[in-house]
Amino acid sequence: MTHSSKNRSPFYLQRRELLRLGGLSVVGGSLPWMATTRVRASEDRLPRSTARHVIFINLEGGMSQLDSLDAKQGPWTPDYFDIQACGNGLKIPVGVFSNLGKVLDKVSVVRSMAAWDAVHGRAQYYIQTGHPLNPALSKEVPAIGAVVCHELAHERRTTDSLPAYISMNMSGNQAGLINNGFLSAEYGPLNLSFDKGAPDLAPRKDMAETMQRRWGRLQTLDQQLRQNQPGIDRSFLDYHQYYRGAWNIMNDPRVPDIFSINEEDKTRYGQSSIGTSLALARNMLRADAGTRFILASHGGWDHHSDIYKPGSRNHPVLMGELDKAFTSLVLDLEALPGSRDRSKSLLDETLIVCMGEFGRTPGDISATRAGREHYINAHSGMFVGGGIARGGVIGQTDAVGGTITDFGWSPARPIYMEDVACTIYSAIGIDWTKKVEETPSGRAFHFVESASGTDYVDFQPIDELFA
Amino acid sequence: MNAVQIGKGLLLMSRQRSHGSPETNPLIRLLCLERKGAWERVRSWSRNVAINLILFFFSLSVFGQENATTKKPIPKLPQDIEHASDKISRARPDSEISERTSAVVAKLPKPERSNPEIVRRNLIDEHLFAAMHENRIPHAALSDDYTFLRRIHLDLTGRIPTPDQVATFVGDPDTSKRDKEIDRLIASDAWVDKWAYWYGDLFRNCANRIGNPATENLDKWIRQSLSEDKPYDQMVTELLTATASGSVWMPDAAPAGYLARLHIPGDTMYSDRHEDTADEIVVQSSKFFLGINFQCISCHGGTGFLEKVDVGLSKKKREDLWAMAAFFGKTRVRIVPFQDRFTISEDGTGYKCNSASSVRLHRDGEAVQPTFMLTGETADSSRPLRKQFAKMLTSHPQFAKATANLFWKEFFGIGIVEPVDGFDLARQDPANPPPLPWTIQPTNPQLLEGLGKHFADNQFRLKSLMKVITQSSAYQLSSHFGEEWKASYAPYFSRHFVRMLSSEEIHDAIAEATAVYPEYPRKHMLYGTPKSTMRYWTQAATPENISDSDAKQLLRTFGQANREWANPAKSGSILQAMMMMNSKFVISRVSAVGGSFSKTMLDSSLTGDQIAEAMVLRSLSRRPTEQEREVARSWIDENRQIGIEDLQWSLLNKLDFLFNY
Repeated sequence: MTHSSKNRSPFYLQRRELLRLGGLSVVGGSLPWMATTRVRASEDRLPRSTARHVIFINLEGGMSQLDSLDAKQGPWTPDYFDIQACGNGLKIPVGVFSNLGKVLDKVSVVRSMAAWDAVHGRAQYYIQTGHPLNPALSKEVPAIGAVVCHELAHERRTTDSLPAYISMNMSGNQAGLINNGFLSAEYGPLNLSFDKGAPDLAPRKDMAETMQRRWGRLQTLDQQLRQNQPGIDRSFLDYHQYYRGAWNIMNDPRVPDIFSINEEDKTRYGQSSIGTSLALARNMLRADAGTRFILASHGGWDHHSDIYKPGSRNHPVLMGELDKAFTSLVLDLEALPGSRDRSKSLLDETLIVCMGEFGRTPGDISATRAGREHYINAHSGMFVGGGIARGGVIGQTDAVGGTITDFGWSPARPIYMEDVACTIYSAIGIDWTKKVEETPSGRAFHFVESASGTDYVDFQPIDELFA
Repeated sequence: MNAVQIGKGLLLMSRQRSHGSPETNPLIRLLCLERKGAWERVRSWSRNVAINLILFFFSLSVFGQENATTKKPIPKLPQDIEHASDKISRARPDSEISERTSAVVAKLPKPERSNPEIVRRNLIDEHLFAAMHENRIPHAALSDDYTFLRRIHLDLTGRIPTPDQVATFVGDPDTSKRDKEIDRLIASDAWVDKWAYWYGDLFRNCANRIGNPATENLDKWIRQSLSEDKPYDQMVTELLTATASGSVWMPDAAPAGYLARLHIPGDTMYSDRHEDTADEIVVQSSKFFLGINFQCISCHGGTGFLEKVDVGLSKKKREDLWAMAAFFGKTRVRIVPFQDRFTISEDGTGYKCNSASSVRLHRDGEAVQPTFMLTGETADSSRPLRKQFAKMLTSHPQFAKATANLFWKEFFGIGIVEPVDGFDLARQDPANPPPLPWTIQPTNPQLLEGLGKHFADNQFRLKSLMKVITQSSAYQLSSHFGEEWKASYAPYFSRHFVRMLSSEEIHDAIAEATAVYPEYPRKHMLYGTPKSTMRYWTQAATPENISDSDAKQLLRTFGQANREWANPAKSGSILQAMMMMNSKFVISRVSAVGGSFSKTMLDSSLTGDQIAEAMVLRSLSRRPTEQEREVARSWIDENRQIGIEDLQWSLLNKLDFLFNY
C-alpha cells in the first residue's frame, strides 16, 4: 500500500483534501473560514465601509439601455414611453418608469457600462462572480455574495437566524445560481424560488403547535443518530446541525413577519416576482436577522423578438414591474431607521445595485423579429444607498445608445463588472485586493482579478459613484 | 503574440507561486466513527424479538379494533396543505396495503448477527482484505440483510425496497440470495432508470442549445444502450463519432446530442467557436472516459504551473491538447438557435492553432497533427479521424481503469483515485514511482489494475462491472465500525461510508414510504410520443420533463443537477431540513387522508405496536428498535391519528431515512 504520511504536513493535507472534496464541509465543520492575504497594499484606497447590506437586483437576460435608463427617442419608440429629461442629462421613459421619478434624486445612474461576453451563461456567471468563466476554475470560484458573507462572518451574532446570503428566483438555466465555490457551504446562498407569493419558511400559523410537538418527538425517536455518541458516523451529527439551523429560523419570532407581505405592500411593490422579492428584501433588512447580501433576480428580459408587443410580457411590462418594486424599496428603506446607526436611514446602510448581464442592440429593432439582440458595448444600471451619491449620472452614449461617448469616470474606459465588484466590496468594507491561497486547484483566488477573460485591466471601485 | 496575450501570460506567471503543495491522498478526511457501542444498542432489540412476536399475535387476536385512543380533536389542516392533500386523496389508494403489511411484518426475522469471518468473494476482496491483513487494519463486520437490501436497492436502482421485497429477501434461506438480488436488480427497469438519469446528469442532457427532440432522443438512446448492456467501448465510440443532418427529429442522430451539448458559441449565440468546441469535446470526453482533466493545459502549458498539481500534466504543452482536439478539426458542430436543431458534419477545414477563443486564451501556435496524447499515436489522415480517436481512447488501459474508478466511487463513496476526473498519469505505476514528495495516486493500484482488466475482459459491460463491485464482501461491509475508527483506515475501505440520498432518491423514497405515488404527466418533448405518466423521478429524460412545482422545489433544494453548470450536489443545507419538516410536499403526504399510508394505518385494526412495525418497515426498510417501537406506540396510544401522522413525519425526518448507510 502506498498510504504514507512521509514528507507531508498532516494539517495541510487534511485541509487541502477537505477543500478538494468541497461541499462536504457543513455547518460546524472544520473549515469555516479561509485565510486571506492582501495583494496590493495601498494606503489611499482603503475600503469605504459605507454600507452594511447589499441588494443586487439581477436583470436576467439583459435590459435594453436605450429603452430604459439611457432612453433614446427613435422611430422604434412606442408613443406611450413619453421620454422626458430628468435633470443632469438623464432621459427616462416616464410613461413606463412612472414611479421612478420619486426616487431619482437618491439614485446614481451609470450609462457607461460594458460587458465582456454576449452569451447569457458566461455573462451571468460574470455578474454573479465578477470573474470570467474559466472552465478549469468555475467550480471553485465563489459568488460575490459568498465572498461578502465569508468576509463578514466574524460580525455574525448569536441572534442571527437567517443565512447571511439569500438569493431569490435565480433561474435554473444558463449559468444558474453560482454558489459558495470552494468556500464553506454556510456562505452559499439560501435560494428561495417563488413566483408571486412568499415562500414557506415559517410554520403555517395553524401548525405551530404541531411542529413543536413533532420536533420534540423527532428528537426522541432519532436520538441515537442526533447526539454526539461514539460509534455513530459523523455525517449524521453534521446533518443534524442543518436541522438545528432550520429549526432556529422556523422558531425565530421575526420570521413570520419577514415572510408575510400585506395587501398594501403587494399593491405598492406590484404583483410580480421582483415585487415580492424586493418586499421580502426590505422585510429581511428591517428585521436585521443576519442577512447581509441579497441577490434578487428578475427574469425575462431576453427579448430577441416582440420587444414592445402589446399583450405579452414584453420589455415595457418588465420595466413597469421593476419600476414599482424598485421605487417602493428605495422609499421604504429611506423611511426606516438604520440597524446600526439609528440617526441614519436603512437606505444609508444598504447598497442597492440594479443591472443586467449586458445591454441590447441599439437603433431600430430587427425587421424580422421585432426584437433586440445581446449587446456588450454599452448598457446601464442604477446604484443607490450605502454611501452612493444622490442624483448622480455617470457616462453618456451616442444618439442611439450604442457607443459610449463619455465614460464619466477617471480611468476613462467602460465600467465593467469587475469594477462593480470592487465597488460592492469597498462599500461593505472589504478589501477588494485580497486573495485566498489555499484553493482546491492550488491556484490563488483573487477577489477581483486584474485581468478579464480577454483583456488586462486594472479594475477599481467607481469612486465617482460615492457621495 | 499581442499585448493582451503578453499581459495574460505575465499574469499567469505571477500566479505560479500561488500553487500549493502536492495533492495527496483524499481519503484522509473521511468522516470518522469514534467508538463502538451505539449501533450495538440500536440493534439490541433483536434479543426481544421473540417476545415482540408473541405480543404481536396476541394483540392481533385479542384487541382487534379496540384501540385505546384518546378522543382529542384533530387540528384542522392549513388551507394550502388541505389543497395539496386533495391531490393525495386522488392518489391511488392501496386497499391491500394494510393486510399485506401485517402479513409481512409478522414474518420478519431478526437480523442475524453477522459472522466476523469475511469470505473473499472476488478480486476486489482479494486485493482489499490482503492489504488490510498486511497492514493489520481492522474492518467492520458484514452488513445484515436489512441494511444490505436497502443499500443495494438505493445504489443500483435509486429506490428503497418495498415491504414485500424486504420480507421476501430476509425470509429467503438461500445462501446465495445476495448475488441473486443483485442480478435481479441489475436486470430491472429501475436499474436502467437510475443510470440513464445519471448519464443524463453527467452529459448534461437538456434542451438548451440542442432542443427538446434531441434531448429526448439522447435519453432514449442511453436507456436503450444500458438496457441491452451495450459494450461501453461501443457506446463511447457511438457518442464520439455521431453525426447529425439537421432535421428536427433526428432519431438516427440520437447520440449526437452529446457532442452538440459541448458546442461553444462565439461572440454571439449565432456564431460558433470551432476550435473552442473541439477543445471542449476533448476536455470533457477525457474527463468522462479517461478520468483525466486537461482543462489546465487547454489554456497554457503545464511546465512552470502544474509541478505541484499534476506531475503528468506538468510535462504537457497546450499544443499537446490541440493535437488531441485536432481529431475533431474537421468536425463541425453548428447550432441553429431557436429552431431546436443542430448539425454535426465532417466538412470542417481542420483545427487552426492561431484562432481566437471565447472561453480560453487566444491560440497562437504552429499547426498540429492529430495525435493521441497518452500514446503519441498519430492519425492516418486518409481515414475518418473521429473513429481513430474513439479507437485509441477506448483501447487504452486508462479507459477501463477510469471507468472502473468512476463507478467504484458511486458504490464505495470515494474513488480509488480521487478526484475521479483527476488521474495523474505519472503517479499510477507502483514499479515506476513519482519523485518525492509525490506518492502513487491510487490507494490500491493493484486493485484498480485488476478491476480495469476485469471490465475489459468482460467486453466493457457496465452490468458486469457493477456486479463484481456489489458482490464483493468489501462493498457489503457494515458502515458501523466495531472499534475506534481512524481516518487512516479509510484508504482500505475497511467499513462502508454513508452517503446522503440524491435529490431523486429522496423524492422517490418519500413516495414509497408514504405510499403516495405521483403520476406526473410526462411533458412530451417529442411530438407524437404517446401520453404517459411517471411514478419515479428517474423515468424523466430531463428535470424539465416534470412540471410539478412542489416536487421541483424539493429536488432543487436537495441539489438536483440543472444540467447546465450545476452538477448534482451532495451536501446538506438548512433549506433541505426545512423542506423535510415544513414543505407542502412532505406535510401533505404525512396527513392521514386519501390513499396515504397514514390513512391506511389509521383505518386499519392494527395496534400501536403493529403500526410502529409497519411504518418503520415501509420508511426505513427494517424493524424498529425496541426504543423506537415503545416511543411510537405511546404516541399512537395517546392519540391515534396524531400519533400516526407524527410517526410518519418523524420517520421521513429521521437521518437514516435521508442517508444510505
